[in-house]
Amino acid sequence: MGNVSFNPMTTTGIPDGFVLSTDGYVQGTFLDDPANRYNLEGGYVADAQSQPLWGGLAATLAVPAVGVNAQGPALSAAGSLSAINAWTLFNQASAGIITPTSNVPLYASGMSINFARPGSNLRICLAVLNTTVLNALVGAEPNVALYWDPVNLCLTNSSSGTYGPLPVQLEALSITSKTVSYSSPNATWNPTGAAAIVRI
Amino acid sequence: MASIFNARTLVSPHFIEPENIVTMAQASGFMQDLGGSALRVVLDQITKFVYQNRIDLRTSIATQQASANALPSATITGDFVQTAAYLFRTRNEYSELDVAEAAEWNVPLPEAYRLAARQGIFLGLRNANLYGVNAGNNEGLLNTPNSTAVTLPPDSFGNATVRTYDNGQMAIWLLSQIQALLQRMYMLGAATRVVIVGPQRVIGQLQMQNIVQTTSYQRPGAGTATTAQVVEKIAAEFGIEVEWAYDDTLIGQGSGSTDALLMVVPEAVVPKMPGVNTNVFGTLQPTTAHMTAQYADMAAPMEITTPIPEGVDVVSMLRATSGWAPRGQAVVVMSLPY
Repeated sequence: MGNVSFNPMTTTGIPDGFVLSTDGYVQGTFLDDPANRYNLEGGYVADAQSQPLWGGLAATLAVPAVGVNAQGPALSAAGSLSAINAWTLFNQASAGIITPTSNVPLYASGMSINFARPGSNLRICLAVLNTTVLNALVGAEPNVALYWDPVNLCLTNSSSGTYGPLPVQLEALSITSKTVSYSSPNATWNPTGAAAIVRI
Repeated sequence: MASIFNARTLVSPHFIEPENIVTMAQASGFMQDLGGSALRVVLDQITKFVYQNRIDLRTSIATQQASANALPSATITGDFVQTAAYLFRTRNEYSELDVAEAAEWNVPLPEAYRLAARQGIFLGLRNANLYGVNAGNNEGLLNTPNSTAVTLPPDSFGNATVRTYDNGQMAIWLLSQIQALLQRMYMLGAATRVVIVGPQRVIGQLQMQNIVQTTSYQRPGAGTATTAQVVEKIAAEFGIEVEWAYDDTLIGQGSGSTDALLMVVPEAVVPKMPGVNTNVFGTLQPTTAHMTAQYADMAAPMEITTPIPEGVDVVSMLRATSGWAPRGQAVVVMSLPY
């Protein structure tokens, strides 16, 4: 059962209080779009999910038990290509908890989290493994084979040990985006992350 | 603790100079490293932690000659940072007899205890400011997360200590550190205060002794100015005000027991630019110009005076945080072998 831990004593600071430019995206958010914003759905993190979830992850949905539909489906990290039923999103999911040592919203078991399903046509930002992979994708066709890396929890272009090709269209790439770095139990923003906008 | 004002043997005729010789401790310049050069007096008596929110953003736009409807968006994210607050307390008790004994030495005991209590608390604030109450938790400006640590490299003659270093090269090295500091903050060109806190033996040498040697070629200050004068004058020409502050506890506090010099930009303002400003989001209010802060509940310690059998008990207390630079880019810890 995933939970959120809290270190009250450590004095913390901001690693990127001064930047050259703010150009970029934020992992786990969708680009605003009046036609598709109603495809944002809500669910909760499954009890069996051992690590908290955050935005921009491939997730599996479980239809709720009879009589408890109100919370929506239970989400857990996807374990195969066919199990990717949803992409988790930070949009409006303000119940996620941040602490000074873990400044990315985390969603532990039972907490409400938002998601969008493949086919929802939303343009979402996902982390890319590294700038080498990102650079290799420049100039690619939108239907280039993209894979989900279940270890590093990001997109990659290699089929080795990954799930894919994913049913997504690649739209844009950035190396100055905010992506999530997770080192249990803390998730922090990487201010110069490699990220892609994909239409799901 | 006690006051020790005892009986004396004197030979008459005599004259006792009425003005006492009072111990002078170093008046540390540590407060100069704080935004506004002062404690930030905003806590209440029981505050345990100070938090500060941080608002970050990522922007993206579409640029085409005609218009399309699938546009990218800006994303604004909030997170926060923290530091711990501590209560600094000290107690003194005295009786009317203690007051009378001290008066025999021209010492007003209640005032002497008041100032002694304050000095003790202020020394505690100095330690918290520079080194933190709990250094292991990143407290104190010397332990600032994301700050920069540099060690004085040998000069071109191989000298690596403050006493032997080439004076002109030392000035250029210090100016290069100021430049690197402001560059990290994208603040070059803005009117800025840069504070250098260090031991007297280092800063004093830079100010008084190290007259830049004349060489076969012209260099700034050669034969006329010291290292510190060169640093100050050249920086001033570009709107940078260099302030020197002294604290001899920094002796041996650099890496490898070298002397530490703490260089801080205590305040940073959004640079004003003609026309459009690519930092316009930085004008979103409320925003802080303070790069460094030490929070407190009062500007001077509160005193609680209580009658006790045959005397009074005075507790002095102040609640404060350690020195804190949420944006560590404004702090450089320089290690200079003396």
